[in-house]
This record gives sequence, structure tokens and C-alpha cells, in this order.
Amino acid sequence: MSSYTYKFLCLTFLLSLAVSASAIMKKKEKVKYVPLYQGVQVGLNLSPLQALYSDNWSASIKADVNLKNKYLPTLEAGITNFNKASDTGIRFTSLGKWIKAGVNLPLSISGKRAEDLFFVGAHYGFSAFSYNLKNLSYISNYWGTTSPVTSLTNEKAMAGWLEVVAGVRIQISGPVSLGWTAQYKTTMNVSNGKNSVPGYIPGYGLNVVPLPSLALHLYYRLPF
Amino acid sequence: MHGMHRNVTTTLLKTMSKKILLSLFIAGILFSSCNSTGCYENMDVLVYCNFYQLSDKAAVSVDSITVWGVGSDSLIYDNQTLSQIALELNPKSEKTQYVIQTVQKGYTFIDTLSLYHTNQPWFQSMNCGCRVNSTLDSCKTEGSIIQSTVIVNPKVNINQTKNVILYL
Repeated sequence: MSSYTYKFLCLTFLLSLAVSASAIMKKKEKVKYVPLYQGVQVGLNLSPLQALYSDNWSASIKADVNLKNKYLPTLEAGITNFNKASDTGIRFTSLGKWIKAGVNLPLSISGKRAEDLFFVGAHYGFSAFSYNLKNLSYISNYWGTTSPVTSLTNEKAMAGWLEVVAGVRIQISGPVSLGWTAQYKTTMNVSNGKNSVPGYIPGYGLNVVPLPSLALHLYYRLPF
Repeated sequence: MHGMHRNVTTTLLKTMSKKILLSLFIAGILFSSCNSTGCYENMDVLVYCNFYQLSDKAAVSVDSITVWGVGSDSLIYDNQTLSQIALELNPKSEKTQYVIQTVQKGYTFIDTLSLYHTNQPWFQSMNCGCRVNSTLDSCKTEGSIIQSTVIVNPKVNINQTKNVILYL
């Protein structure tokens, strides 16, 4: 078992412990009736601010439905622009769309409609995209350092990945909230390009396993 | 109003169980330890050629084998006993030639192995860069060591272990 697989399994086990601990905590509380529908929060990813100073940016919008303050099914759709260079000068460019769906489980809430909460969750993401590679470099072999092909254009790929998340959402004022989400991601299936493995995946990031990341969102609670 | 929200946040954090805090602490360690830099993938693309006896089709080892590429001064193998040789194809050409030499009972025997191939560039990752995979189209020999050749697997990439059989 690789070290990455071991760490991923450990994290999953620890998160399940946290969920069970929360369940035990909730059993001790007085049972209250909570309606099934507790509102919808729409979130805007704050990553587009990167476009002010970088060619790499991502924009997304997400929505989660609060069911009985116990389950938050979520759906997020976005677009990511990559313009990355490796240490050897290889240039990767891509503009791709992606979508994620999953469920978050509040472990600790405050407010009638869980206006403040700490949550964990699991999401599945998918993206079908095209990308370009320039300034390709090759490893040296017996016949010397070679560059038979220096660029690859319009390579097409698809990827699906799993995210285990933990995060916080805090009410700032009225219907507006702010939150961060820590993500621990792993690809489940990657369909490569004709002559390449995609270096980056929209919605996922650098194509390595596992991949931790952090997302910031500004939320608005819909008035119904 | 701002003070009320700060109190809510403090209350939220205080209500977390010790197990949840422990999960966050360990998760933080996992996040910080997951750095993926550098190339950890095998990028060596080799053609594997095995020596077999023509009479009984059994694998054999040949001693005093020396191998070098045609047009190069560098030796790939120098006077070794081998049952298999692993060779790199020329990514700038569709034909790669090697000289295979053996000394038996004081006599030097030489063969020229010619491999004809189609090259395909392959980008592996931002850290590793590119390699060149190939597909063997045909091979032939000229000399006194190898009687015939058979391509058993034409795909030349990082995952193969046997591509050509050289019958002696």
C-alpha cells in the first residue's frame, strides 16, 4: 500500500470518527422538530480575484440545500483557466469547464437554519476539456537530447475525481456568509489526450494524487 | 453586531468535540506532508531483446557480449554474459542500428541489428516532461551470430519487458 493511499484511508477513518462523535453529541440534546427544507445558500468562489494579477484563475458558483439541518446536498459548476510553466519551461494552457456534486454533513451548527456551521462532506467532480503544450522537453537517452516534437495542440481529455472536504461557514450579516473549505482530492479516472497525460485538470488542479487545496466562498442565502 | 458574530464563532469552536479537533490536527499534518514535486515516474523507454536457441526455442545466455550503437562510440554493454539486452531507440530517426559482438574460443563474431520503428512523443507530466514511445515495424540482422528474429511485442514504452527474440 503506497504512503498516499495509507494517508487517504487514515483521513477517511478519522473523519468518520468525527461524524460518529457528532452523532453522539446530538443524541444528548433535546429532540426538536426541524422542517425538511431549511433554505438554499448560493456561493461564489473568490478565486476569480486571482485574474487581477495572474493568468491562472478559476470561477465557480455553488448551491447547497439545507435539509433538516442534517444534510446539505451541493452542486457546483465552474470554469478554470490555466497558463502554467514547469521548471524546464514546458507551457501548459487550458480553459475548461467542470462540475461537482456531493453532500455535506454539518457536525456543529448554530442558528435556527444552521447559519453558522462546521461541516464535512464528499463530492464527485468531472471535467471534459482540451489543452495545449508548448516548449516540450525530452529526457536525454543514448542518442542524445532530442526534441522531435516541440508542441501539442488541442489535446482532449476527461477526468473524474473524489473530494473529501471539511469547512466552516459563518454568517457575516443578514443573508451573507463567508466560508472556507479544505479539500483532499484524488482522481478516480483520467482519460488522457492522444499524445499526453493532462498536466492540470480544471476544477481539480495539478494532476497528482492526492491533492490538498483550500477554497473560499462568499454565500448568499436565498429568501425562500 | 460584529461582536455578536465573533461570539457565535467562538461558541461554535468551543462546542467541537476533542475527536473532531484531533481529526483536524491530523488532517493538517496530512495536508502539509502531501507535497508532490520532482519526477517519480519511470521515463526509460527500452527495447528488450532476448537470446533464444533456434533448435529448441529455449532461452540462452551468451557470454562476452559487447553492444554499441552504429554511429556512436559509447558502449551499451561491455564484454558481459547476457540473456537479454535492453536498447534505446533513436527518437530522431525511424531506423536504429546496433552492433552486437561476441568472442567465442578466440574468434570474434559480429552482427548488425537493424530496428525499424515509428515514433510517438508522449508528454508524461509537468515534472517529468516528455519521452518518445515507439512501435516496431520490422527488424533484420546481418552477420554470423543471429539466425533469425521475431517481434513478439511491437510496443516500445515504459511497461514492456520483451519485444524481440533473437534466435542463435
